[in-house]
Parts: sequence; C-alpha cells; structure tokens
Amino acid sequence: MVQNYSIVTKKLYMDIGGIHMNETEKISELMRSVLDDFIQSLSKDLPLGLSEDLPEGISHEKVTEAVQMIGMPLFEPMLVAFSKGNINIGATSEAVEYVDSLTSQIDATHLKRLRQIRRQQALQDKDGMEVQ
Amino acid sequence: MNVDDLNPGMMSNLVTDTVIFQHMAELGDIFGDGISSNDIRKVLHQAGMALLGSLLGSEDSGGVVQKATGTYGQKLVAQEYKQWIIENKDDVEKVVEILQSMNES
Repeated sequence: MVQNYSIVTKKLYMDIGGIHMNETEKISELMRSVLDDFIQSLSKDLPLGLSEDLPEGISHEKVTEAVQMIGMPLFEPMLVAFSKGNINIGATSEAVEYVDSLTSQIDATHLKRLRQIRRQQALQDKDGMEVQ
Repeated sequence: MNVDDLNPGMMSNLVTDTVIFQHMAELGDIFGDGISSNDIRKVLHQAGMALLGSLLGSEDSGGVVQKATGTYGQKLVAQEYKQWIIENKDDVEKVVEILQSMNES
C-alpha cells in the first residue's frame, strides 16, 4: 500500500515540479539534441580508447556517420520509458530525492496536500490561459 | 539467457550489440567492402556505449536522465531495456550466440 502511494506521489510531485513531458515528440526532440551534441563531439574526438585503436580501413568520419544511424534506435527503450509519462525530465533530482524520502512516512495527509497543490496549480494554469 | 539475471550495464551492452546486429547491412554500406562485421561491431559498441552514457550515465559523467530524474528515472529506463530485450528475444539470442562463438575462437 505504501509502495502504491509512493508511486502516485512521485507522479503528482513531478507533475507539479516540472514541465510535464509525456509527449513522445518532445522527448524525441530532447534525445535528438543529445544525439546531435554527441555527434558533434564525436566528429572532433573519438571516445577514449577508440582513437588509438581504430581497425584498419575504418575512418573517424565513417564511425561518426554510423553512430548517427544507430543513435536513435539505441535510445528507443528510453523513449518508451519517457513516453509512458512516468519520468518527467523537468523534475530535478532534488525533487525526486524529496519524494523518495517520503516513501517511509507517506500517509493520506501528504497525498491530500499534494492533490490540493496540484488542483491549485491546474486552476492557476487555467486562469492564465483564459487571460491570454 | 534469463533476462532477470542481467544488470543495467549488461542490458545496455546487449541492446547496443543487438542494435548493431540489426543494422549490420546498412552499416556494411557505410564502411564498404573489406571491413569485417566484427571490426564494425567492436568500434560501434564502444561509441554506442559512450552515447548511451551521455544520456543515461551518472550525474558526474553528465547523464541527462540521472541529472533530471535521479535513480528513479534510471530504474524505469532499465525496466524498458528489459522489455526491449524480451521483445527482440530472437535477435538478442543470435547476438549472444555470435559473441560466445567469438569468445571461444
């Protein structure tokens, strides 16, 4: 039971604490930018160990090209994990640590308070949208 | 192979090798004739693991997931890696066989 509360609380806290990112497109964008950064650094320097040990006939440029091709498929399982909405990239690790610390002492009062905050936040967001 | 016995490091190793295996035909086109698939695997395995580390690695090594979500996010991602291995079981088993025969030779 405590475990279930913990999962719900984590989800609630993350919804409040950061930008909710359970949209595949946004996550995909984030991963593509990580891949682009990696490719950029790879085009300058190969990872340690590889630079001195490239087999004959394999050039630095070809390695970069190949990583560009397999990069997104390598990220696929992560993309699925994010898109299930269980992980919110906007939440800081401090927020997660805070929620983790609640696991042992979670009770209905905490949950009620979190729900209140979430409702208030949703109302504020709604008001903001109406003003615009 | 029992997927429950794999730790996150072993899972990312296996996923990296299997993705390389699944794309071997296209990778062969990039590298051209005369390069062995084993050489392609060796090089890309190292580069692929570095790439995964940049997203999934520890906070110290600049992993985005760890920085943003802590170990909670990492655990969830590990679950999805496990699921991926189960869904791609046939390819994963072929890769394990290839790796084992390479180790034996």
